[in-house]
Amino acid sequence: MALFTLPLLVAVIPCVLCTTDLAKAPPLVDERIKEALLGTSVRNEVTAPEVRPAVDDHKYDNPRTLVVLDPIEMKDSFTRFFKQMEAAGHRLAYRKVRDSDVDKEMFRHGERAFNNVVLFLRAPFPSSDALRSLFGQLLSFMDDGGNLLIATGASVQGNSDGSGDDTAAVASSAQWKELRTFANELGMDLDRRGWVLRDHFAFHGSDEGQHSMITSDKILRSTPVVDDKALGGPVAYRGVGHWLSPSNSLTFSILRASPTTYSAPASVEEDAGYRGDKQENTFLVSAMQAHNSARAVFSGSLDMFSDEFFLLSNVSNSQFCGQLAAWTCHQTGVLRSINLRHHKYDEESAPYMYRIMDNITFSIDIQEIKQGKWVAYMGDDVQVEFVMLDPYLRLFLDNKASSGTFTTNFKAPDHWGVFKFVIDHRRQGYTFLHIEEQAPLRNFKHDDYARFIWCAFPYYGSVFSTIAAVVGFSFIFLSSA
Amino acid sequence: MKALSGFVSTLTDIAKSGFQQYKKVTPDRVKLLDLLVIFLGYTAVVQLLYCFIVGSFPFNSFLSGFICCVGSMTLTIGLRVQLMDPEEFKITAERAFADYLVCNLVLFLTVINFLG
Repeated sequence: MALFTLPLLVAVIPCVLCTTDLAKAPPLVDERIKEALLGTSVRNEVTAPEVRPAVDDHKYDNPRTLVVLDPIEMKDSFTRFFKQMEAAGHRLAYRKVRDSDVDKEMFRHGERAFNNVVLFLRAPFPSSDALRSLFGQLLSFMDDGGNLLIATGASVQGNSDGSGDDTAAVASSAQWKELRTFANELGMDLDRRGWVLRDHFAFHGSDEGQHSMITSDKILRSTPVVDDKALGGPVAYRGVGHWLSPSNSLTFSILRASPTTYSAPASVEEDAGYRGDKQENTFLVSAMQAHNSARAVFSGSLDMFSDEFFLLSNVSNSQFCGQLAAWTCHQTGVLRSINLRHHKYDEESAPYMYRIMDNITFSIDIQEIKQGKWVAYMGDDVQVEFVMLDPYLRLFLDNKASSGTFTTNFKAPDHWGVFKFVIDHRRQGYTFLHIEEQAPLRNFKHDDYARFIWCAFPYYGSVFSTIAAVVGFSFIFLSSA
Repeated sequence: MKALSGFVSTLTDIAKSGFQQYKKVTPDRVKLLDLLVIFLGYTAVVQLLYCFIVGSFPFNSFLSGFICCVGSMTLTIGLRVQLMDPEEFKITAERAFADYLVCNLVLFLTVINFLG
């Protein structure tokens, strides 16, 4: 007997010990896991980590803007432009290109430290190495969502009567190559080194010499970039031109030269009879809005922003440059969407799933920034697509009473699967709006079908009369046997 | 004209004598069977006409109503063949009738499920 009980005890005792241990041990699901699962914080003693304000927090009303100049005293020639920017809420920081800190300051601890960069370059240019490093940094700045306003070209050092010293603006070929390469990255093709634009018809009255102070009123219209109605006259410009590839959908010109403008080497005297090559579409100021909605604006004239040009009579450089800077720095032409909702036509909230051929109501609020405030977007060509790999429906959204609430009703297609609503709104001068929201469609459930349809009653009747006939026949057949 | 009326009268004579022969020779049970076949065929044809007039919605109801009649008719004809020719099939009338009932039961169950 003892022989049997001993192994039994040996087997039972550890089990008992284990169970008592388990009772003392902490529960398997501890509080932290519960918190993670339930998404609510049960404990109060956890202090929130110190949050450093992100640079984009005041992107629209109080942006941080880095002004890169060389030499730093150059800013005295642009006081009016920078005053305008400060009035628009910018917090400006001035740095020299040759400052080795410029690269580091643009990103601090790996985070972008500025919303915008204004880069003013003129001869004598920094060394090509310094330029290459700066441009590389600027490209990563844009990749991260920062905006860039860049102006270069002929110098303001020219005599105030415009009689020329354009040669002072000539960069070395290595420097110009860096500049052209960078402009190419932005989708622009810069003119040859040392060439300037001239126009013997559209020039400013104060330019009695080489007619390099040209004017143009060919401003991009009907976009939020520049409000051409608010401008009092043409824009004065002195510098180089550039061209855009028509196949690049991200770039567009804001200011174009008049057809009589031509490009010629700065050193060639008018009397030499040199005509230069006339270009139909010489661009003066162009913009590139990247896929991440970061904006780069390139101007081939630095003088355009100068106090000298701001004070000229009969031109609207002051307003134009102010609007240009505001657009570049995401203070105009920015869209956002809020409050996306969709539901069945006669219901209030979205169901778990839509059924094929349901009537669906889709609506979304789209807002545009104006003077630092979000106001209703006035567009009337916003479309929503109902997509399963291909768009099955593409519908205009109705901007109800211009309230910024865009709505449509539609009947879901007779095709079930994983659908989604897609809004891909790309309009010139506005940031890109891309919204996707999944809304799968299911087929009819067995109880979704209608029953007892009146026009089917003959069929029901025929089935039951057949059954009755067969049963009746069976009785008679068997009883007659 | 004379030939045609002669032909018609010959046809009616044949039909009459055939019907007389049918009434005389065919057992009563089988006559009952034929009556059922005629009833089912008639119902099927009426449903087909109705479907042409009203439209095929709801199609499942039409299919079940029509197939119920045609299927049951086919089964009844099968029973009739088995009853009329015992030498060929070598089964008793009771067994044939039981088969007929089971087949009809399966048909009706299917049709009622598909009817709604």
